[in-house]
Amino acid sequence: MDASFCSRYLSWLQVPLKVLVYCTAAAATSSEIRRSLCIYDELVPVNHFLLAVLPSPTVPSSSGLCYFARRKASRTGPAAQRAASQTSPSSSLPAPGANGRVVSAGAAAAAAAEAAGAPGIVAGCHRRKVGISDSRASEFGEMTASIAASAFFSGSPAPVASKNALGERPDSLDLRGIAAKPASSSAAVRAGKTRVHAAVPKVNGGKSAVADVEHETMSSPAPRTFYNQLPDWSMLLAAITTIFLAAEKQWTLLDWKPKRPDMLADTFGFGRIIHDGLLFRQNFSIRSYEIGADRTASIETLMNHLQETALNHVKSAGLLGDGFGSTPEMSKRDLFWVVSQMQAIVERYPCWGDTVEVETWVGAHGKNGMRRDWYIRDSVTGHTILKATSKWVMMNKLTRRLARIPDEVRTEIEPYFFEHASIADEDNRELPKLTDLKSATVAKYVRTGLTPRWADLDINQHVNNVKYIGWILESAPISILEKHELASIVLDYKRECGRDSVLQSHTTVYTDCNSGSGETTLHCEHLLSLESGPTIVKARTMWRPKGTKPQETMVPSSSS
Amino acid sequence: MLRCHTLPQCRLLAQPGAGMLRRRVAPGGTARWGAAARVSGVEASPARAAVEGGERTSMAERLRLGSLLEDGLSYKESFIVRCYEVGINKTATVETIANLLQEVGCNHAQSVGFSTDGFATTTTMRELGLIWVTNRMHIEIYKYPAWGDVVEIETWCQEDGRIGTRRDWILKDLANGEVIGRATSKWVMMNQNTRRLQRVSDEVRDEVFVHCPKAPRLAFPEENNGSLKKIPIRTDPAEHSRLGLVPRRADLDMNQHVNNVTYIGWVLESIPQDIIDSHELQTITLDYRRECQHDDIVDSLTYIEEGEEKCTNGSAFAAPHPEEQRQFLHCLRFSGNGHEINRGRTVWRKLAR
Repeated sequence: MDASFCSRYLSWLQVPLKVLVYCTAAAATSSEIRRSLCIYDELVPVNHFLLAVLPSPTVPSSSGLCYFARRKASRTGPAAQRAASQTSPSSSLPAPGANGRVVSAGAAAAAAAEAAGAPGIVAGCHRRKVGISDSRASEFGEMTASIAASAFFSGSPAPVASKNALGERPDSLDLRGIAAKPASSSAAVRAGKTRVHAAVPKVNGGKSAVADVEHETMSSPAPRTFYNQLPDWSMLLAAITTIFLAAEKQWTLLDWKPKRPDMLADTFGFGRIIHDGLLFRQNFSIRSYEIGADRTASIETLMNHLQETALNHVKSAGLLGDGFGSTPEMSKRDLFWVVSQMQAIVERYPCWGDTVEVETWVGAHGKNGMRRDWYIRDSVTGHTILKATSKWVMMNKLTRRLARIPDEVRTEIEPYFFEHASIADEDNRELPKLTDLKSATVAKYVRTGLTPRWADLDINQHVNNVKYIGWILESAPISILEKHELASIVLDYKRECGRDSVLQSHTTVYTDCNSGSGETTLHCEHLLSLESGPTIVKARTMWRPKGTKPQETMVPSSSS
Repeated sequence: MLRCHTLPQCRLLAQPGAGMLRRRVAPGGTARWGAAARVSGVEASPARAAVEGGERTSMAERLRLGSLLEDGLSYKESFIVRCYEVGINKTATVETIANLLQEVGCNHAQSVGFSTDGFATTTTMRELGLIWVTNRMHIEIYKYPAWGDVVEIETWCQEDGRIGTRRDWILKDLANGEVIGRATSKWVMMNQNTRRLQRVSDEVRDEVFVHCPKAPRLAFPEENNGSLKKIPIRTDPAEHSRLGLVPRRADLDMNQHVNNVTYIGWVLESIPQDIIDSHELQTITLDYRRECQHDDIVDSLTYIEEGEEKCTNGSAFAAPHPEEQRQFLHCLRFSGNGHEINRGRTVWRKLAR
């Protein structure tokens, strides 16, 4: 990329020189230039600047400017598209910004080209990918044109003009009626380390503002005096030097190699916050040791992914306190979140090697609780894999009693609340009350002597939530597991257990032969308790025969 | 009896081909991308990643898929450590590391065309009813990765004597290229039906070892390294033990045998709490002797290993001070008849808390 960029850049070196020469010659026909400038005043995109010069037959050296304008013309299509892209949810900004790790200047510069290729937002952004290096090169061309032109016309040091431009940008934008997004112009201001940065168009309006203002100042006070000013060659030299320095600076900023490991992980593993900061999305590929007996991912694997995305969401939002269960405000007060209930509905199980996309978000649950929902889809086909929801309560680490949410914590987390249920009410009907079931047979199974291993424990030396599911299924008879797959599960967490616990797992199987489709669906009740008696987890599961065609539900991806 | 090399939880479907539709096993040695078999699952992702941002595509792709190296003789893959793979020290557990080693070994075998049913056998081997079984596993970890770290694992296999093959791994931290661990394992070929060891015949050798480096390349090239040390039997009563360990459903593979990584967990079960709290596992060596099934009950015994054995793993890396190392011998055996399942040695280094 760098080598080709370099060569393109070198080829563009000829352009400023050409422009300077032609502009000098064009100065002779002052009235025509002035007229063209007025035309320019009314034009929206800056790359039409030189197009305006084109139609004028009296401009003698229009050929050179025509050359330049032709380059511009090729970008009108993308420019219009870029303008259109600004109206869609600006996910590209939050994406690097939310993680707070991408250098903002680099982001502005890199995102300038990427904005048009905002992930999954603008249709036809494929073209953008190919055209990125071209557009950057031509941006330089634009910059050189405006710089050269401004150096020629303004007669004042180039940077000063830019400051004016920056300060007056809103006015100039209003005057011009340019539909520039304030976000982008402020982004440019934020990134405006050099004048050239400010000139890099996040939106075309930004760029035009630079030259606009100059022309405005020029045209209003003394319209007829500029053509008396012969080009100041030292100014032109200064302009050229500025071009070089600015280009070099931008060049190095574009050389974006993530050297820090967390940037690496961002691209690869951490997922990103989307949808105005409310949703977190991450992809996982199913590894070989995560699959169950029938070559599909086990329910434990899927639950592990839910746990991972929940933590990554919290981390990306900057709300990870000590340990895995608290925000910083909570850690100060010895509070942590405890899961009280978990519900999951599985529509299809992914296989080894599949990539799944997990989305998660939080919401409120009552006055004092939090809810976290997940949605897993196959990242290739988009089909639903799993929908889950969980309820959390706050507990004091020291007293082990439930606590109210303090106001400071509420301010921390409430901005992230997104009231959208993953499991809609109609899905809940799949789990009828067991007392209503007229089941043909009831069978009970027990498995005792279950003990946690070191690997089951989390940082607090408590058993990880997901392990309970494995234990619950320990006592399910193998005949069920071979012929059925878990369709839905509801877990009520009552108590935690640690390393020294010995557990027993009870399963009661209700075989329902009267289901409408004629297939045997099974409902099971599970109880996981300490051998000394107290209940750890209660669960309800529903099983459907393997190979049942799942309903083809697809929830559209939030980015579209 | 020796351990089968199988995928941890893989069972043959009634129709063996059904589960493999998504996999495109490349003919041996010609696959450039180790996860060619994964293309069906992941091809949209690189495309989408390409859309998302020009130069980031190659990196995301590179991290998601493993690949054979240029010479086709070894295989590299990167993994990010997930939160549920992290243990009480906030770092990845040794079981996680072992799982990743197994995963990358499977992917390597797949990428060069071995079978995808979990046995990683060649055509000739299947005809003759031969399978690979693990004989010994030796893992050394110098620096445990934490949650979110990306680990790059390179693996290769080569001949080892007349009846065996070995598979070596090198683990690196992808961020800074530092070697964080090494591992090696020995495999022998066994007849599935007679359960007897078999020599590697010439036609099998040609099929299997074409993908292996001809010149010996060892993860542990140094002399007298820990991977070669014999593990003795101890007859005295064990200092620490944990009895009555039971396999879980998730521990079983397609033949209803307990998978390799579970044994590591069992070995660690009988380490006392104070060692676990103050030390970190540096080296583990396991000799596999018998297979274990769902209904078996297992005892885990730990003996302290004293004497001149300390700090003799001969590691080329800076070894910690001997006083900060603890060394143990282990034995896993059936509760009922006392037959030995596994034998092991672990070396622990003091945690810098």
